Amino acid sequence: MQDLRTQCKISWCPGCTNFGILTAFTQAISELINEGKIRKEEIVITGGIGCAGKIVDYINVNSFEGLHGRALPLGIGIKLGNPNLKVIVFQGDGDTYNEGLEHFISAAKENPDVKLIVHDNSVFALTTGQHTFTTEPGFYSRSLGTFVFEKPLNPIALALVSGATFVARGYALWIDHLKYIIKEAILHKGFSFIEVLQPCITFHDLRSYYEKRMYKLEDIGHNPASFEEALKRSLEYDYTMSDNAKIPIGIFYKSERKTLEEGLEAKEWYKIERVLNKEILELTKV
Amino acid sequence: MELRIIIGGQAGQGIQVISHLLSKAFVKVGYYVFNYRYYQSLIKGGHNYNSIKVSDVPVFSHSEEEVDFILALDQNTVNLHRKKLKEDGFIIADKRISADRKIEVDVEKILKNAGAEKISENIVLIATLWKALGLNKEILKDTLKPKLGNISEKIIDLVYEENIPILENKKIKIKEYRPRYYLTGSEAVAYGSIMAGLDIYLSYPMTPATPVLHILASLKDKYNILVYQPDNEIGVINMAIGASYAGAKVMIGTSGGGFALMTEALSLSGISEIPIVIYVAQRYTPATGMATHTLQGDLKFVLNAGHGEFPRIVIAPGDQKEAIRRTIEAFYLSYKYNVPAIILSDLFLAESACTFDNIEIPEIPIDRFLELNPGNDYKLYKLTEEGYQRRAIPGTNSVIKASSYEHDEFGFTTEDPDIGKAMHEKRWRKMKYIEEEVRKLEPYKIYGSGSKLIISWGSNKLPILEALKELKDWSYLHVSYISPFPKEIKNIIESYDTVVLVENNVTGLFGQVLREQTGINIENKILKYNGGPFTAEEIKRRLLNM
Repeated sequence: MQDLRTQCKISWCPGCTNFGILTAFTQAISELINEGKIRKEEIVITGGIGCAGKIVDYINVNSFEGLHGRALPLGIGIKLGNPNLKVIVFQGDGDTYNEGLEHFISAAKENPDVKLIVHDNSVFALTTGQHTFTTEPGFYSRSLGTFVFEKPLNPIALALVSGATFVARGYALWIDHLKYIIKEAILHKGFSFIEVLQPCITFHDLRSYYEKRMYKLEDIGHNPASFEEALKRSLEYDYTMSDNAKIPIGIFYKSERKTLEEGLEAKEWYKIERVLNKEILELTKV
Repeated sequence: MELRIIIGGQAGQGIQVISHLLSKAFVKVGYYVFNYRYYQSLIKGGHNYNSIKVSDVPVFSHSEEEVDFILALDQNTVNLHRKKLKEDGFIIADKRISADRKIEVDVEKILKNAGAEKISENIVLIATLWKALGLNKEILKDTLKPKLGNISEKIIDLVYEENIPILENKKIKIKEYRPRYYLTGSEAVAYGSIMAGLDIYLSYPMTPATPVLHILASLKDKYNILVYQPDNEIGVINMAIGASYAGAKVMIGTSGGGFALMTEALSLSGISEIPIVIYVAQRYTPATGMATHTLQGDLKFVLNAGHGEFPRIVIAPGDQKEAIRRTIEAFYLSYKYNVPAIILSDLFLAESACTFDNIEIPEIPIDRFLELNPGNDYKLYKLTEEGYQRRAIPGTNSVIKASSYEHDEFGFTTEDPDIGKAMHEKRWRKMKYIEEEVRKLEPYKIYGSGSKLIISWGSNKLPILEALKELKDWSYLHVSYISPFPKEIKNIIESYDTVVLVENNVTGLFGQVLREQTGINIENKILKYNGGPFTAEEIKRRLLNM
């Protein structure tokens, strides 16, 4: 087991479910390092702003804490800047589905080999309790001054129809299962999206709701190679928190196509020695 | 010798392409050319024109009056520009276009005989001009053929068989050929970035920055660079900062509106100290403004964009030649000192082409300024005496943590007031070294030796230098560096009794910056803000009327 801890004092609430994601992720990369599948030096994590993004301070690997909603394009840029790096992006639901929604759809469409882990607690927690795009109707939002009435977004279905090549849902407190998904996501070539149900125990505690209704896709013989089956399963839970909901978790979909950095022929640019190229001025010579 | 030519017609008639080829043909017969492009935000129709000035001495601006030739591809061109024609000027046009002082050609007949499409009518008009000027058709053929193919040769031959008068008083002497550089401001920034060691160019299309995107995309294989158009300008700049963090030399390009979307991440570049070069080509603003018209309205915006206080470089090249060296300098300063650098251009400079005998390249190293063997105790934000150091990148033996939060030396988030203070001071310590460096890079220049002073910045340099040819009692102080600002110009300005500020904006933005930086307030202002650039004639007139 790699020691991936840092000197930072963790500022999540005691008992925060983000600890589950931290544990699952550090175990996953630790195992992948020990299995010789990745090298610690080549890992770069980026973080958005909110409770989710804080995770980058707590893991002793290369990292870039970006802006709210923009950790994903930051991560894609890192991949274009050096395609040998393994880039994993941590964002919250606010980062991903509110502030930076265009980047989420764009990444799914363009397929950079970047991994996106979304800590979805269906609430703006660090700003103390406003609704996000995945908050269910009936939730009292401090920014509405009343109860949410809008229909929530379905990120799994959105990722699928946007073209993501790896789409999964995990649960922050089912650590072994989440670890398995993260390992698969990292080994996948292309854009990997993991929506992690991560109940906020302070502002939006959905632990018992989720735990009563979740089931694992592996247990029912789901075929992640089938887009149609994946889409059907994605529609099974619509984030409205209805009583009779069933919530599939696991890998919905997995396929392969050319990645963004392959298409753009990204390189380890820093290894290229460039000198003052005066020859190009010939193009302007008459 | 000076010759003024307007080529006009509708969008889609190939005016821009043919005007550049004609300009190059004039350079081949030994002349200097300035080529200004007027165009509208549409794809077909409307009215576009290029205004060309040919001279036997270096020429820096076009003219909108006393024009020698109008090459009219439609009737509208005659109607709009006839008033600009010199008394002994001529309009060259098809026989179906009505105009006085016309040199007539039967465009349809020539195209039919050549087996050419309608798009080639522009070739007929410039070949007619070429013949009327008594010039050798082979030189024109050599210029057109690589771009327009064999059909251009055929058309030129057919035009030369026509009964076109050779105008004895406008005849052009072929001068000794000397290779010269002929380029637009867009080409200058694109080529300058490659000279500076560009790896990645990211941009979302926006007039008038788009030509740089097109040029670099067309050169990506030849020069081993990556060019990509992300989802939007916010995606552009965040990706760019990521790529730069990973070790690539990155430039992004946009205009005012796109830059407005980038400002949050500009601040990210500032605090994370990840370098980035930003090409901002101004156009007529506010908001969407007039997309294909020029203005210098974004000076204070780029100087102040981004929340918070952090050092930045802002350089405004004044002509095409200068844009090359300033682009190289922007990369150098950004990557050496780990700060964002902005190259501030505008539509007039980006779209106009100018001829130069030589191009000076600054003597600065092309370097990534990276620390590739950082060791285990490397700190990205080490509180060094200089405030900067060689930057390590991920993938080495050290953990590299960058952050948008205020951070300690390792890059970990902090809320410690002492560290916050120390980091602010560290980031600003660099500015002293940047200022010293910039002093060696000719941040301003005085042209002419008159006793009265014109002061300006950016592309106004072009018409001012053109006007200066006749304004013998005036000098021109051109300021290229806006940040850091060359405060030493205070003494220069104070040594003149008469000082006039020239700017292409509504409120004299440079004048405001000058006052902030030096305390000098310039009362006499020549301002223009209708979307058009200054001409030399206009500057001369307005100076005389002051």
